[in-house]
Amino acid sequence: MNTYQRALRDFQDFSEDVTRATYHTVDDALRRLASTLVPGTPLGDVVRDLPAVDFVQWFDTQAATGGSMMGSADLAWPASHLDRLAMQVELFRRLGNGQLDLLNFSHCFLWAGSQHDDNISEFVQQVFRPFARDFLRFVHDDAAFEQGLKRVANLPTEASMQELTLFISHSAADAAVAKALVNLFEKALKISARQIRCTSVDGYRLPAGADTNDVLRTEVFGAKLFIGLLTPTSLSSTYVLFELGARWGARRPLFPILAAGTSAAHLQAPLSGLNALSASTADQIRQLIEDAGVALSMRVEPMASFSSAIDAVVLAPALSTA
Amino acid sequence: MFDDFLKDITRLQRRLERIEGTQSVSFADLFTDEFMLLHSDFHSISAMLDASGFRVESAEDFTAIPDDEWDAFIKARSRFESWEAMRGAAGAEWMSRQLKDG
Repeated sequence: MNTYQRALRDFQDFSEDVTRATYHTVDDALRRLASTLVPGTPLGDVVRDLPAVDFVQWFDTQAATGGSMMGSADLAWPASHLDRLAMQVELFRRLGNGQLDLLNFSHCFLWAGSQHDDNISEFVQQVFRPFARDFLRFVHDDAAFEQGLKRVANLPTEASMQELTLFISHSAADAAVAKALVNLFEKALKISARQIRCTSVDGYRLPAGADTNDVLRTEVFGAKLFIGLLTPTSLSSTYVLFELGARWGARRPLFPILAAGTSAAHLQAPLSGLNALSASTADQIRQLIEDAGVALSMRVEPMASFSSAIDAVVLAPALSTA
Repeated sequence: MFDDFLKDITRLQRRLERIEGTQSVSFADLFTDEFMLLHSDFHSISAMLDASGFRVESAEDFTAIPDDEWDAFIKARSRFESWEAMRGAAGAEWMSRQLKDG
């Protein structure tokens, strides 16, 4: 699956989540949906072609049509198809980032009764489903996006990406620690070299000819387990931060590992909300392996068989600068 | 209130009878554009058939496509793992539309 297909699939999946959402889950579903529309993503780039609209003025005008009765305000979208779509995209962005509250919106324009779920269902039927249909039509009319959909995914193949078990995000300057981690995972969990991506370590680099950005994007999402090696260097690397952010946003297993003097105090939100383990403490590296075994549903080999690999991780920063 | 309930049940019964009497559903009815937009890489079933690389101009052409190759295409270009799963989902939506539209 290439990045365009993945973006489309995410939008479709999250759209289905919205249509099935209840009062308790709809905010999360909308947040995920809105994440597919951010600039720099395939769908975000399509959205850029929509006309600029003044959402606040439109919204205030609509809200002002309401009286004292719940749901009495008119919801009149712009007459132009593209303006309407642009306004709806902006609505979903604002619902996704919390600037607008869905229940308040429904109470104002689409009151269906005192049950929250009824109001959400009304919103889905009257606003969301038509939007999703119209938006996807617009997406398919976009020549660049349609071309992207047809593009064959770059190496590695879909099958090999699905097999990727471990992705170690790191800065090239920390290759020694990354290499020690690779060695540890191979020994402790018997993960094969083909299932590990570690771009600075020979044998685990990207295949020749692969589109680096495309493959990394896909693997960052697709790997079963993602380890972020956090050091002063990696925390200032655009690539590493992008990979960490993408993985965090995807809500898939993400284990931050602190090394080269980095402590939990150096981490900012959202990384600070994750329990980071230290590569300089053998006990914490042992815990990393146990946690990874659970996350991957893999059995950990006897400790004695990889204790030297743990020591290598702990000593790697010192050895690399010696 | 009870009369309304009975009317609803009777109406539903009629719809079900009509559905049961349906011999076949066309591709266009089953795989609506909205279904295709929300579940595949294509805006319509004809766009999907065109992109498949298989020449499909008749029902015979379609049935002649090797199942494993068609399943692989569906898996790669839709949200479904197989043609059977896609057809099942489209069928469920079609049935739901019939019951709602009356």
